[in-house]
Amino acid sequence: MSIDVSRAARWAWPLVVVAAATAVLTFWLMTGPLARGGGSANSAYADASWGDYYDNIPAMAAASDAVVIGRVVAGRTSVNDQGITHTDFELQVQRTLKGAPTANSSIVVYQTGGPAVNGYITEIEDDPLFKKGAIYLLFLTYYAPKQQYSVIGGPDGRFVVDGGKIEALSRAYPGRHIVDTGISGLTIDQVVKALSQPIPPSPTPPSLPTGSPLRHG
Amino acid sequence: MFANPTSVPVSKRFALAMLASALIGAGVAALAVLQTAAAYNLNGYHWAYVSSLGKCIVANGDELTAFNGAISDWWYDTGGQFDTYYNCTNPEMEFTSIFDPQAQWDGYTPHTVSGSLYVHTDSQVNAAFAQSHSYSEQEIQSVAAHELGHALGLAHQSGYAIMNPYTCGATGRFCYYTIWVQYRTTSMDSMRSTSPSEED
Repeated sequence: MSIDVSRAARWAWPLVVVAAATAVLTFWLMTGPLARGGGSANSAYADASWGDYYDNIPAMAAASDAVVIGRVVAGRTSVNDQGITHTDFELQVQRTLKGAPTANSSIVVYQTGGPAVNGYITEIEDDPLFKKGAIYLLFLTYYAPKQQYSVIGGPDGRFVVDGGKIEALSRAYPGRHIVDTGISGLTIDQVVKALSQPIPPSPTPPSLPTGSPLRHG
Repeated sequence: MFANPTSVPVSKRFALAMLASALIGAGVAALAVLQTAAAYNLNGYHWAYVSSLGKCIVANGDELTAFNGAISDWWYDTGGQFDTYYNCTNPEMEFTSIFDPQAQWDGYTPHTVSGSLYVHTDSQVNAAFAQSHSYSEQEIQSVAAHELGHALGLAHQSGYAIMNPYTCGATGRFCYYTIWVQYRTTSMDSMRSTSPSEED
């Protein structure tokens, strides 16, 4: 059996071009502008480390001073004495699942970040700013000196309520790097039931990766 | 398959060699993408240079120790590629201890960017949260190292990593794993993405 080499070469050149183009395109996608944020000039972005992680509703309920469902009706952004841009969002409470707030009352929820202070919009990557008009299920801790609330566990303690069901922020904002409970699709009645369930045991820590050189014990 | 390979003219052999090389190159690039996806997440921004960044630390006590320790760790883990010098007049990187009793974060890094380049980062440790939760020195340093990871271009990831977004709780990077996570691979990959040769 023999092969017409000149014909094979005629096939080869287009394949060479295609393969080379694939390699170049792959490299560009990894390192070019599409691999980056592509933000506009003088934008301010933020990342955070959250103190506590919760992976179930009973644990969040136990750690919360209040659990409410409410609609965001207003927000006022300012910079505190520590230089932190934050927004006090006014929430119209629709239903209280735990704690002091009563239905139809207003509470203030503190969130780091906010629109257009000093020309910058500040928003934490995995804690998107509250949206005016949106309805949320919130697990809250109370700060008495200012009579305000904050969401516990960063993205863990906030769920978007849509069509009577809750959605974790990681589902509501799939384009962001959000690591949270991922709990979605529960009805409010199911959430109410879960609130009084016993807290499940913490997961067993995994064994250390083989060969991981640890420097701190 | 070839009946008589030695009869193939040089130019044709060159073409076939080119084909094989290109296919291997594409395969390697694809593997690199998979490796990248598995190793870390980039937040989309990077420094033009990481070898001579001006830093200013505004902290005392445990937070000061934590920031210095985190900077030293990243310097060590990047083989000295990431390096800083003190410059509190016009620093690219600031490290600040702040006290915000309402925030539920223990660390925070706002960054100013131009296009995909970092202009300024301010890595902060929230002393209020650390105090109210009785953080150990190592926990505070894990927060500082995590925030510096953000300042070097890394995004959050789940699991066994310094860039796990949670310090404590069910699967936090510190309280769950109870150890520090070695992040040499992650930081080296990050440095590769921020090398001056890839400056925009």
